[in-house]
Amino acid sequence: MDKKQFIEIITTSFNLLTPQKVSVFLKNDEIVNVRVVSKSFSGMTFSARFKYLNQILKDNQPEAFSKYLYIFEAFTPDEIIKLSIDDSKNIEISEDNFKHSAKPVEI
Amino acid sequence: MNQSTYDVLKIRAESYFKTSEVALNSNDVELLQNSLENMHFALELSMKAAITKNGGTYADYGRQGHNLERLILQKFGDGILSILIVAKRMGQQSLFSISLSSWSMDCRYLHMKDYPDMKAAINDYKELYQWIKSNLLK
Repeated sequence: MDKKQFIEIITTSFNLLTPQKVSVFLKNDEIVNVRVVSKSFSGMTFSARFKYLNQILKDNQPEAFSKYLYIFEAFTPDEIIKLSIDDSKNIEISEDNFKHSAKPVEI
Repeated sequence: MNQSTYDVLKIRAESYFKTSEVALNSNDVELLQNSLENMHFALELSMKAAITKNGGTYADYGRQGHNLERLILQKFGDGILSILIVAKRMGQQSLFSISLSSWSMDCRYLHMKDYPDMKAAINDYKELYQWIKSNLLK
């Protein structure tokens, strides 16, 4: 299975959610980032959404599921609009505040 | 293996875990945010301890040093293992996928405004921390 086929298989797995958009990124040989934008997520907690996406993939594509680790992002169309504004701002703050916070432990 | 560094990381991880548990049942969202942050540190240090135990090294600066995705992929020992590979061999993809999704570095602030989401994320992290502690830090 080539990369294009793999992405198509993952994307179509979530068709039952009638998504507005599904984005699949192969970050490396082990991790796949999947972002699904759908009205179906309205009223669900983020954790419930992740579990739901995880279960859909596990049930529909067990081979692809077992091959990679999936990092899910699940938004409603309204949330994705807010994300593009808030997120970039928060990343800048995060970088600045935590610049030295992961130093080795002093013995 | 640098035993001292491993011991300190393991002890600090457990300390963060216990601190997190103090506010675990709080109804206050700000306290719950603190609980989640402490659970994140518990998870981060437990991963670093597992890597150190097996002779590996990890990023210790800025955003990369806190990135759980990066830590679980970090190769150690003979260069063919990582926490993720060990987890896969033990059939734990679901546990890792859900927990790391809870703390996606790019959208966590949007997730962490709502009480039920905070509770769910803490529980997912707690489960993952306990798995690492039981399986990789013995």
